[in-house]
Amino acid sequence: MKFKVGIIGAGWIGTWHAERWRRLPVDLVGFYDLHTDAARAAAQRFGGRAFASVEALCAAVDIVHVCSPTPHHHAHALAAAAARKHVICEKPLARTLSDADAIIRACEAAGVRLFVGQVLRFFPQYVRARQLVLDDAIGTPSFIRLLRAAGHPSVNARRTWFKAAEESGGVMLEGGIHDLDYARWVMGDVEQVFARGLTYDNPTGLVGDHALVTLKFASGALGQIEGSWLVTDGRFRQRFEIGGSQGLLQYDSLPDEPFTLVLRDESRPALLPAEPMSSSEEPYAQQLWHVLDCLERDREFRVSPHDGREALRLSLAVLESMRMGRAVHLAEIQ
Amino acid sequence: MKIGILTHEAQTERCCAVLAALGIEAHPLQRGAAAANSLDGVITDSARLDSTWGTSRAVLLLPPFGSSEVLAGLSADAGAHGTILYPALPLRTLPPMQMLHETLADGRLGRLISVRLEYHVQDSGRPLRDLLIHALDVLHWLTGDDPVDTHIERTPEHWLASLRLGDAYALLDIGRALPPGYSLPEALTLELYGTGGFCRVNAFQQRLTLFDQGMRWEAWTNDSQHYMIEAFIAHLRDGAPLGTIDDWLRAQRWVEELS
Repeated sequence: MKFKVGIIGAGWIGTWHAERWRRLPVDLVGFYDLHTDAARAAAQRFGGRAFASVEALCAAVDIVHVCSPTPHHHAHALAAAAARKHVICEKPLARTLSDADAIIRACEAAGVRLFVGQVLRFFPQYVRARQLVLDDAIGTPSFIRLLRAAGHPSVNARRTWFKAAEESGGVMLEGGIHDLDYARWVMGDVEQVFARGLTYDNPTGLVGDHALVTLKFASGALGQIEGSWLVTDGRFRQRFEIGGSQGLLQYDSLPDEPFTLVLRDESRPALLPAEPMSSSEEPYAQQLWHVLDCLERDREFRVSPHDGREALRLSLAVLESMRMGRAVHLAEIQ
Repeated sequence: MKIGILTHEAQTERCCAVLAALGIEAHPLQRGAAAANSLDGVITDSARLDSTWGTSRAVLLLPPFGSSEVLAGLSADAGAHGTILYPALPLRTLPPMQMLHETLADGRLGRLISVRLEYHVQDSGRPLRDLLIHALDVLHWLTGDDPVDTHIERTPEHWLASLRLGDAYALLDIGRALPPGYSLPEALTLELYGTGGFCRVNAFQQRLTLFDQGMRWEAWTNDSQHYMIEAFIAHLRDGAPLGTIDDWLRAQRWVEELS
């Protein structure tokens, strides 16, 4: 079956995905965007057509890919479910847990599949590290460190919603949610978070967002995450370190050695070669391939709706901790 | 300049080698021997007053330091003999850390927003309290601020402390996470964000990268003891600043409060 795909939101991430969709064995039917000129431009560039309404797009496709700004995920995903179409929703699943729950319920009621774009689960370094942990390469995992740092995303007039904390949630809801999801994927459920950060309502005069987060996992392990939109040299950076009773895994996108495995019983570090990613490993394309494969074979997604909800819940716990100035138990965020 | 060395054999050899590289005359001492009054300074790992210190102006005390009470008592006893005791605070003396200190002092990062400090060692026997004392001392040395509003999470091998320093917030990640095969015996990394830019330090990998108008990168060797002794000599020669007993006791007091 050749799926028909429609994209809601023809901004940066919508066109990023369109670039990948058009290389996959699907019909990219078209785009809807509040800014009709953006939808038209995307259709011209990637094929398909610009739809005048969300409903019209949903009626014409099998899969709706929600790439609109976060505050619109709820309405757009519900529209897709109402039309009984499968939904791929970019992270975060929604701005609030009640909206996320409504999306999940609507998809279940409609009998359609819901995939949340927690794409870090498709980055080969991250996938490989998790597999090494599962394979007991570092013994019992006891801590994880993650970092995601970039410049501020509000680089053009249509992306100013990133600056509105009520809409975007700031760096920990937009970017840090990747790391929170990955931490949970590798280390299991989080019991408590404590976070401090710079929010938009800050005395520095900076348009910025930054957070330092500590995590306590149900297993007893610890974690920390730094998320930043304060990078001034324009270089994106991501990093992880996972430590265990028998070794340490390190990855940093900036240094020369992006992936290092050090074992406790070795006299020297065992270096895993930094293999360049092949085009088939490109994580965004991998993610879409995965969705198509799971739909065709009726398999479980790597990211379940519950995973998407939990990533959102963790992000909201971080924001709540920053707001309250105290540790927040996940049980408090329902 | 003459420096007495009163440590165990391997340490003495190491200290002598560093001093020789600096062109300084080193005199290995025997514990409890007659005072060597012509010495300018002594380097020792013994946290008790020794007759060999004689009239030395200054003593650099290498770890282990003992309790606050022992250290304060030793400092007072040494002071009564006209000798100032300095605890080894080697993290401060690493060149990247010196550059970081200058960068902050010059105000190049603007108003400090955040500090993340990770300090981990291979040594499975090293007390985590000791690592935290060094980490807190570094923070105070860099910012001049006292940590307040602290939150700490602990496992037997790993501590995470979140705190505020003036207007900035900080996360200290300390522990014994480096496996025996790791390329360095200890690793200290810092990332700081300020209103003027951000700065990354990987102190033992000897890399400091400063981003503001451009990017700078510099590299050094990674022997912290070398730099500690060099700083001690610079202090004796021309009064260059050196971490004091009060610094150590202050950091130790904070650790008590956190604990």
